[in-house]
Amino acid sequence: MVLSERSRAIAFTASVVLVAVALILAAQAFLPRPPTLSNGIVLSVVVEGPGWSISYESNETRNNTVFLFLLEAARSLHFGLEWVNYSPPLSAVFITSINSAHNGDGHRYWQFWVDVTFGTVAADLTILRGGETILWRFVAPQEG
Amino acid sequence: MAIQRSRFRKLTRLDLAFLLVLVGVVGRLLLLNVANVETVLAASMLAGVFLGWRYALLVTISIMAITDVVIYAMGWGDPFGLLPILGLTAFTWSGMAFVGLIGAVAGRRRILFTTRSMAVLTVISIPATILYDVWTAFGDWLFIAGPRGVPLETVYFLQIPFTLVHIASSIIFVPLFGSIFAWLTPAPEYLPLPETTKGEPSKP
Repeated sequence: MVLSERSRAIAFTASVVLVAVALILAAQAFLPRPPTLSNGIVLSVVVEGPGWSISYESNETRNNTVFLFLLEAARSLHFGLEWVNYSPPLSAVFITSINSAHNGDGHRYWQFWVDVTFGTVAADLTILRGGETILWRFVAPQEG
Repeated sequence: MAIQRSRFRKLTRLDLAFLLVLVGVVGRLLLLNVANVETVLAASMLAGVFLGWRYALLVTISIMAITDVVIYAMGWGDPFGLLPILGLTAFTWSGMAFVGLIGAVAGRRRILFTTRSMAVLTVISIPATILYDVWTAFGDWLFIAGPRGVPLETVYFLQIPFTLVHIASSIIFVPLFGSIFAWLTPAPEYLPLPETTKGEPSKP
């Protein structure tokens, strides 16, 4: 059976769309998903800003990502937090300001460590199991 | 001797190069907040396919230079410092230039405004995208992740979802813009046809 050029084009377009959707779904499967906790976990966070420091800890938090726990600290201690969202298909959150210290002020930027390990993925994709200490530092690139 | 010229010449090569730069620049800047969905790879590859390797390099370098200046002027690259950004830039520019050269090799066979040609380009864009991502992830490890103690294998593992999305981006944008540019590309000129001559028919 010989297909017409129009039929080929339609079949090709449909194939491309199907494969693209499959690839995006496969990519989603690789993204870490925080488990829903039935019991709270112990976490603490230290935020070292320019000339100030904030500490917060919880013995029964269910906010088990770096971003959610920082959000909890900001709500509990009433300091400001700003972030940008990367759009789907690979959604991610990047912190741009904590307690009025904005990325770029004095060529310094917010970076985080979980138990002295540098954060390799976005704050909302970094899952916490309990017992960790998160350190946010406002540092110049060469200090990171 | 009559020369039969194509009646379907639409744009010059320079026009096409300018349009490809436009596709790359506008696409990259508009999709900046959508990780690894971009039009630069398609523009570089199509420049190679339709215009040859010299234009592929010209288009690629133009797109990357214009968009990098805009992006870093907006402060996106600052968290990493100047040296890592320059190092990463060397990897991204050379990676895209390599994709353009892959396109130039693919363009040696005639690419027409047909489904078959677009399918060929789409298939070629997949390994081109993977090669680009493997190369630039290595650059990321060398200049950004490695100095912070992140192993290379972790960088490549974390790269997997980004590469899957990047392939999805390529297989959509390459045939989409490929078909548009295949239609716009000057048709190859016909060889001069010999004039008919009068003469006596040869005797058997």
